[in-house]
Amino acid sequence: MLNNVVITGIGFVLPAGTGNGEQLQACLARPQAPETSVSEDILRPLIAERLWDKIDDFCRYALAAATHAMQHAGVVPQEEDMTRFGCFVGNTFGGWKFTERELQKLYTDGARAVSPYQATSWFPAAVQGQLSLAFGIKGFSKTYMLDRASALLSIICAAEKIADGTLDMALAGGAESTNTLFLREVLSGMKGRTIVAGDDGNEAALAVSEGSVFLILESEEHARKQQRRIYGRLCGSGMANYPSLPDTCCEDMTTLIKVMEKAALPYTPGMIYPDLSGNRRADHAERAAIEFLWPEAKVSHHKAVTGHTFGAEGALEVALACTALSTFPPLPVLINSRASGGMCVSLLVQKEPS
Amino acid sequence: MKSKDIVLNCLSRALKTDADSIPLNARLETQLNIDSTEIIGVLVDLEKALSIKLDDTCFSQLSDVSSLIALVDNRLSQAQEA
Repeated sequence: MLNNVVITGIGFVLPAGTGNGEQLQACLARPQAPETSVSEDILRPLIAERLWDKIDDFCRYALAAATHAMQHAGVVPQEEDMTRFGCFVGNTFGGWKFTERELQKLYTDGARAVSPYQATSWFPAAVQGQLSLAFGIKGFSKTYMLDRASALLSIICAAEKIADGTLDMALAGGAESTNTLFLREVLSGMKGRTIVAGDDGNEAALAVSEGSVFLILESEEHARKQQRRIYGRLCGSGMANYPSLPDTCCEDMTTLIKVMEKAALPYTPGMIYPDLSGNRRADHAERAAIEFLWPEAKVSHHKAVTGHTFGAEGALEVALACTALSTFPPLPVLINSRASGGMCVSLLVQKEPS
Repeated sequence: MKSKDIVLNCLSRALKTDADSIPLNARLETQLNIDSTEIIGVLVDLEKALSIKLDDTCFSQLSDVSSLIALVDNRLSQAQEA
């Protein structure tokens, strides 16, 4: 059970802006096109100049988002046992903007011209390394690559390590940079897909976005001892793999029902954040599974606004669930993330009454 | 431009600081916090600026800024002799 694990800090970097959990909803409420990229201008003040050239955009996003989350929670690393502080990161693509530039140098100027930081800037675990260095994190840490379900898996695994007593607290979330020539080409297959964008069944184009969201997770006991404000709690999780073709995700209603039930029971979700892959059959199966289990639950269509942020996606959903304006008492939110190839992950989050 | 100035310029680019603020006796690792990856970048930058070839493994011989200048002077002399 994860319900002694609470969320005490939220930080984000999105095309709409950067900040902490207090600013997320207002930031996303501004009129914007979802398919945009993060502006360098909002990151420059947050990243040391010497570090800037050594890392890719996805690492910059993560460092800025994690810094906001740490400050939001009021975590001072010097006052924590950092051997019991972990770091869990979701990422899908790694650092392609850096790599594209260096590959160009390789072909035009030779191997000697390639940055010595190529390897350390590209690999998806770079964020975990940079966060560990930045905050002195020495506890159990891990990076997960699971397409759009990467961040949700990182949050669940961090919560499990807190719940089993391995860690007191963790930075958990994800980061993704998609604003590169290579990735735009790779993801061009998603162009033309549509997702349901409202209760009336209206559709919107599926948008590819980017950014980073990090949460501070800790045991409720640890949070109370430090007198931290609690924004939400993790109530349950479920995951299963239903092998599917590489470019499709789970279309099996039975699997989706089992995963969602495992995450939600014994609670009844009042709101569902669906995955909305843009694949018609998979989205139909998800909608049918939700209607079968909880026909009264409201279904959010915010992905028409936020787009798909891939490695950061699940963390953004959890942050949205914890900061959403809601009636009292807040309703549990069930978040679905699915990965290409068949992995299904669900997490139930309960916003803490403010 | 003297080799000393070129070395200081390359270091200043890596450290994002003014060349004038880098003392010649500053220890590369402990005072300037230059790690092994960063020094490779500096060596490649020096190779481009001076059209010389520096051995990647030579960084183990480097202790402070002066030792880097001495290494570059040594390679420049060897290049002139050849």
